Amino acid sequence: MDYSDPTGSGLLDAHGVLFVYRLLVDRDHAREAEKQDSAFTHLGAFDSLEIVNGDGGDDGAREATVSWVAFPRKVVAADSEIDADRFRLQEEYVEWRVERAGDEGDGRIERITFTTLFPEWWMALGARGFDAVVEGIRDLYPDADPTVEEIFGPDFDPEAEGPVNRLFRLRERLAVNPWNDGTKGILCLTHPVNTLGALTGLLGDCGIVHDQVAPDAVCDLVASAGSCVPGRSSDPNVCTAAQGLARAGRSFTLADPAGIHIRGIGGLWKLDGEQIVLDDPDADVPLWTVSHGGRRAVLEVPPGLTQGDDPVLSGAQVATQVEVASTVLHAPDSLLPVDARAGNEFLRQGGD
Amino acid sequence: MEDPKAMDRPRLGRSTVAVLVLVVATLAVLTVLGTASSQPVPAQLETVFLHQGTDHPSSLRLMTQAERAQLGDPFFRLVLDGHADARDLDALEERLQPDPSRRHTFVVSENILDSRRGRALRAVIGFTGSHRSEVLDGNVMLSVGFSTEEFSSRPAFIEAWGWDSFRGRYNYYKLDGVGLPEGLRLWKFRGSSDGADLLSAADRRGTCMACHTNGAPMMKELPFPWNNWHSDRFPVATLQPGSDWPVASDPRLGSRLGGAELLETRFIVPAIDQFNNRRVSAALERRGDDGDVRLDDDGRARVMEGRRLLKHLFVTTEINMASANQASNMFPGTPGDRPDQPVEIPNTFFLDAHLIGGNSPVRLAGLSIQEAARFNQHRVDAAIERPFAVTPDEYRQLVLDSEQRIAEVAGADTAFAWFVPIASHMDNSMAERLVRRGVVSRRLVAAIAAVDLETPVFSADRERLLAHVPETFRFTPLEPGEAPSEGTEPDELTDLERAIVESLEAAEPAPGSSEALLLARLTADDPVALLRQDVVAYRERLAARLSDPDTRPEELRRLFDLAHERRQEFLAVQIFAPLQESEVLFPRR
Repeated sequence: MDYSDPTGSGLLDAHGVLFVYRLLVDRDHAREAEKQDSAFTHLGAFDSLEIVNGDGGDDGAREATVSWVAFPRKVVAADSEIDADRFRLQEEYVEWRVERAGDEGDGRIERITFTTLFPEWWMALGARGFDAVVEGIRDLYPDADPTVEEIFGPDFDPEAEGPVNRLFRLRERLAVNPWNDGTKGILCLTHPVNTLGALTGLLGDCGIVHDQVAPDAVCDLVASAGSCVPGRSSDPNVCTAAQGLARAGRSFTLADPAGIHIRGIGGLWKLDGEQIVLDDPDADVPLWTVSHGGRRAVLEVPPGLTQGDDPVLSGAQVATQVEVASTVLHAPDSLLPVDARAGNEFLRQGGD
Repeated sequence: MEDPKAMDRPRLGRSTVAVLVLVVATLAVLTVLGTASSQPVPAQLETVFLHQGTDHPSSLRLMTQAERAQLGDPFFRLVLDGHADARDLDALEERLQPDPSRRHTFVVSENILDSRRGRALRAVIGFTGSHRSEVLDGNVMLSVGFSTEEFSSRPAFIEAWGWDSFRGRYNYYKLDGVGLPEGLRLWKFRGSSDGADLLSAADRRGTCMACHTNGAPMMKELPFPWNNWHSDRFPVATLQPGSDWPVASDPRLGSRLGGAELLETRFIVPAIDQFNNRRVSAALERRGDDGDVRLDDDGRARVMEGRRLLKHLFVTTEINMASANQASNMFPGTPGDRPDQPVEIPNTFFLDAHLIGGNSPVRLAGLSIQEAARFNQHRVDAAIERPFAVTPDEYRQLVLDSEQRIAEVAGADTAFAWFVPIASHMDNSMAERLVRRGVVSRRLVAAIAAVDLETPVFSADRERLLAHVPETFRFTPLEPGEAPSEGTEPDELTDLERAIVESLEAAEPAPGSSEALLLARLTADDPVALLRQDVVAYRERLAARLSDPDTRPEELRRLFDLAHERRQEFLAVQIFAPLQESEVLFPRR
């Protein structure tokens, strides 16, 4: 279970908690890899395979990327409501925070920050302790001065608690942590459905062949189990891809580093009426930057920046142009260890 | 505004010498090409491209210098201006965007479910980023045919459009060999969007305005779930690596392949919105000295072509196609004989849900009446809880009982169920632009939308009301981002509304007529609230009939027949005829 730090920052390793992160990530992977008849398998099954490009042949492992638009397609609500109610409405494995000018924060938008990072990364830092979490926050917000209570809540002494209590306490408090709830910042995905467990569960359920229906109808079939929500941009798309691989006799897992990455932003953008290329890497002052292994993106909104001819009035508006993606690693069952193949889950039970 | 027909005729007003020079030059070029079709293309042809006015070969002629000087879009600047010899797709893409990661391929076919080999499909190629100072995002696109076997770099034709941001218009081009010596293909200018909305069906023949009815980019199946397109809702497995289609491994697919959800939100919708915004600006009175919008002492601007601009609120000027989110499983050749899950009849079939309820993914705030946006989600406490969801068995029976067919295959349906024409983003986007800029109020939009509410497209009752719109009127422009007035005060009618009210009153409309309804709504306290009441009542009435097991079958048949009628109405509109690209677009009876 050599899961990599998805941010590429090296912070987990520097604090000696990369193994904690790996344990947390493997928890969800292992559960789905043991799901009876699912083509979802464990990352280690691909250790001996070379990752090759090109079509789905039989000479190695391949990557398949599924992408979707960040805007929550199924939600019927005003943009302002979607921005304000992040933990209820931003349900496509991507969340954002809007920063406004003015002391009351009610002025024009100055910056929008998107994240696709799962909480496990912060949980691992939390296991190390308060100082490690502060370092992580200052990597994003250099002037940050978090308090223990902001991170771990009241009546909690992180130094007196063990690492397990610390990581779960941090996780429990994410929705009210001002450095994550939008008050002072945004750290990671926090909507109840935007979890690694939900993603792996979706892949696990949709990795079971249901050939009595068309691949794109499997989402509806497994919806009753709660793992796929029809009508979203993300779930049906991911489900159809997983089902297609399963039917082709190809087992799969989340490509390392596991998770969702921000693929880019599109659309028509203007600055003072002149069209610009928003993600121009050669721009003097880039307005759109993607960092932390694609888990974080920031749109700077200077005066005069418009989406088409419309001023930027919400994060939801911008989210209609943001594309996110998840990549799976897949290979024919014939190339994988016997215990990694769909239907042979019983061989893996008892742990690696 | 330039007479769009002027470019179809030889410049009869020019000197005889100039005309003769044009004719001689054209003949010389075509003669040389005719005898040298197998020879390397002469260097001078790097600058040669033709003007095509109609679909008759005799209309072909060289573009004049004056005409070329009017072209400022990226396609002209990067390709035709000095490189008109770029006549294969490889060269074209290289000239437009050398970075392959910035080229994006989208695939459509009305036979997209047919996985057999040997068929034709169409690709739309978009570009992002910039090249040689030309920003490409949403400013240039190509359309080409390809097959399950290969993605030829020399297809039979290549269509292109480019956005001239200075002049605020789209220019359309096509590379083909029609009217030319065998084996020769040349680029042809096939019209601009200037005045496209005014063209008759006859005027459009042979130009790209035959399909682009308002002159803007067109994507028929624009809204989710993008019937006929490869998308995140319907990833076409045969286009993906590993399929038995040889073309699946072509580099123009693979990582370049994008879904219709990206084409819609990143390319087409922004292009239409920008186009409409420019059209609003173009309709305003200007100062003679600097060309800025003329404002009176009260800060009001004047619209100069009121009926042309507001036509989109009354008339179906363009069409999009929508469907249920559920596959029918009844397309010819596909396994299955009914949907896998209940079919949710699209909201936009019942009313103009995007205008009235909004559609956030495409930046339409609309009138924010959420009962319209959630029309088909309405649940009742009755025998049938989800009245607007048609069960698979019900749907199959509707299809069979209607005796509809696709391509002579009886009992067949489109890929996604309940495929119907709906109010277009073009029309709704214009309404949105007009409200955002203060040209019209939400009050007026709500009052118009209340007329023939249950007929979202092809409403003769609404069309008739356009006659009451004045040709010129004043309005107070809104700043970008400024919230439009709710318009709930009847004693604060705008100039436009007052003019419409006076015109309606003068007509002495009969009680119960559309004119009477519009008049009543415009002079009411809160037309938006009244419209909401209409929507709720409509929904309740339908839900009652659909949730009662005794009346449900008859109501479903009525609605299914209505869907068929809407398709027939679309097919009967002359200017929309070219949009019927194949016999499998719609089920027929």
